[in-house]
Amino acid sequence: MTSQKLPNYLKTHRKRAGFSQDEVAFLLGVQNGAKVCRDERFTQIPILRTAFAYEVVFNTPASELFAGIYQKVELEVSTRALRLAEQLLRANPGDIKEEKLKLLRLIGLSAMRESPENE
Amino acid sequence: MNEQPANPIRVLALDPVTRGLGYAVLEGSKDLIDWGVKTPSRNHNSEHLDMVARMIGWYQPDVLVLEDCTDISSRRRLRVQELIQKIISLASKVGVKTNCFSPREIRSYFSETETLTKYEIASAIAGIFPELASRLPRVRRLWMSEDYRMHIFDAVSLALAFYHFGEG
Repeated sequence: MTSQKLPNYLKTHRKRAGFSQDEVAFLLGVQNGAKVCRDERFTQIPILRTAFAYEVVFNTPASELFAGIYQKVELEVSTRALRLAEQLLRANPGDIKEEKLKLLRLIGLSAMRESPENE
Repeated sequence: MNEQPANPIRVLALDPVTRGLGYAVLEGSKDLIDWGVKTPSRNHNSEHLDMVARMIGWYQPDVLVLEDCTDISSRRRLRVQELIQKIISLASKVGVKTNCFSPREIRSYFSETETLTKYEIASAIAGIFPELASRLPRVRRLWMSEDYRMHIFDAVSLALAFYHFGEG
């Protein structure tokens, strides 16, 4: 059995780096560690700017830091990509550009390969 | 993070003792997600169980790993044995599988001769996970009680035993 990823791995990276929550808060430019604590406990999803700040602090892509959220978004987008490809083929079978179709199918298949439901 | 399957099994390993709870969360044998020792505000089994329930809710583990107190190599106090049984019941109620490993099995994972001391096992674990190196206590002398940080390593050793021996 496999599990979904955790919403984020901020605490993991912070502890590996040896930072306290207050120290990370300082690096993020916020007042104290309470915000970092809320982010680590999955009670809130940081805004994009904060997500990028975490990426800089931990030298790790935001898609890895927020792996669980990324996983869900990837699955949703890939499902819609396949649906869009089908819709375009039905509506304009001769008009659709080959590159566009290829890209939509690539987007659709990438998440499907890694989805735990398909294992 | 280290190279692992896309969605490895997430293990929450617990080392309950009378005064607290050592814990480790791993996603695969090479990925240590969280670790530490939690101390309840009151030294009651009910407080320990509340902590465990919160941790299960937070980490959503696939498996909970604990010590097998029924084995002759286990030297747990009666209260901790009862606590471990209650944790197993709690996990069952919320649909989380549990696995138990004896101290002998853990020693056999780290050494063929099973003669390693707890400190030697902890040192080996600190070698696998460098982030734990700063938590490694000093070598215990005869007059010393066990350093609370050792419970982190006990928990990690339980998790590693799970990945090695698999589900029982």
